[in-house]
Amino acid sequence: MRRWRPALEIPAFFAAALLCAWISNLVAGPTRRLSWLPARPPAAALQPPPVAPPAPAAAAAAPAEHPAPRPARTKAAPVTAPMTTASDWDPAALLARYPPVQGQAYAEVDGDAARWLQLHGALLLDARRTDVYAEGHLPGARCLPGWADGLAEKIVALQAAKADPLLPTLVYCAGGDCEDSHLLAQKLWMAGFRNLRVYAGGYPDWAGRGWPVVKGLAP
Amino acid sequence: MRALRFLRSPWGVRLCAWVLGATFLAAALPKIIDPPGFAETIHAYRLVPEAALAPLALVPPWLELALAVALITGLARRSAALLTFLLLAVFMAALAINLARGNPVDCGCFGASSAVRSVADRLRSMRLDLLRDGALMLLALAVLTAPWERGHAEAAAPRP
Repeated sequence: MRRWRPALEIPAFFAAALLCAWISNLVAGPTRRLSWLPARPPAAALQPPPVAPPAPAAAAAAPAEHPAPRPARTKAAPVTAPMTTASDWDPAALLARYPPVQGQAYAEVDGDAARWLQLHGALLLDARRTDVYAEGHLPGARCLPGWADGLAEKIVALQAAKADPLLPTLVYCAGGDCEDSHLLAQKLWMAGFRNLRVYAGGYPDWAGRGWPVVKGLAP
Repeated sequence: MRALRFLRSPWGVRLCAWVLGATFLAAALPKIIDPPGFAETIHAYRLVPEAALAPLALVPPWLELALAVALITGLARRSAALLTFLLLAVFMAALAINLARGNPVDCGCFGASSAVRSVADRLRSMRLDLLRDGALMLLALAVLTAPWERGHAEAAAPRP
C-alpha cells in the first residue's frame, strides 16, 4: 500500500498547484494576471491586414497626399487627437521620414529617431510593466505591458482609436536584453500595424540622454 | 561518517527536508506574487513555445509552495522529495542548456531580478545556480532514500 502512495500523492500535488494557480490568477489584479492562452487579438482584429496592404503602396507612392484620407475617418478622428501630446503632430512628415516597414514586421531605430518620432507625435508604446512605466516613461507613451493579461483587448482598443495603422508606431522597453518591445511589435504586426519601429536602446538610453520623461500612470 | 549517519537519522532527514522546504518556500513566493515577471524570465530561456509560457509561469510556483509545505510539515514527505528531485533536475537542465548555448539568462529561481548585469557576470552566476541546485538535489535524495522515515512513521502510526 505504502509503495503506491506516491502514485496518488504526486498527481495530488499537481492538482493542488493547478487549482491554486487558477484561483490566484482569477483574483490577481490586472497587472499581475496572465492569460492562460497566448495573447492573440480576436479574429475581428485580424481582419485589417488583408485590407491594409493596398494602402502601403499608395502611401509609399504618394506620401504627401496621405493626410487627405484621414479626416474622412470621422469615427477615428476625435479619439486620435489625445493620442499624442506633441505639438508638432504632422502625419505627412512622419510618413515621409518613416514609411511603412516593408518585408518585415518592424525595424529597429536608435535614440535620435525615437526622439524625432516622439517630438512629431508618433504613437509611442511602452512594453514594460505598469509599475516600471509609472516610475518614468517617454512623454506621451502609452502603457502596454507585453506580459499582462488583456493585451489583446488593449490592442483592439488601440486599433479602434488609432487613425492609421500605417503611421509610425514606436515600441520600446528596457533596452539591452529586453525583448518585450520586439514581442509586442510582433503582436501588433499580427494585429494589422504596418509601420512599427522598435527603439533598441529603450528607456535607459532615453533617460541617459537627459531627454524629458514623465512619471505616473498618465501618458 | 558520523555526518552521514546523522543524515540517515530521523532528525537528519527532517533537517534536510526543512532546509529544502525553506528554500522552496523562498523560491515560490516571489514568483507567485509576480507571474508576469516569471513568464518573462521563462521566455528568456528560449525553451518553451509561447503558448506554454503562462501555464508554466502560473503552476510551477504553486507546486513549489505545495512541496515546501509538504517538506516542512512532513506530509507526504517522500513523494514531495521525489517531485522536488525531479523539479530540480528540470531546472538544472534548463540552466545547463542555456549555459551551453552561451545565452545568459537570469535564473529567476527566487523571482525576477531587475538588476542589469554583464554577460560574464550572469554566466558565472548561472554556474553557481547549477551548483546550488545540485546541492539541493542531494538533499532531496537524502530525504527520498531515508530508511522509510522511521521516526515519522511511528509518530504517524496512530492515524486512522
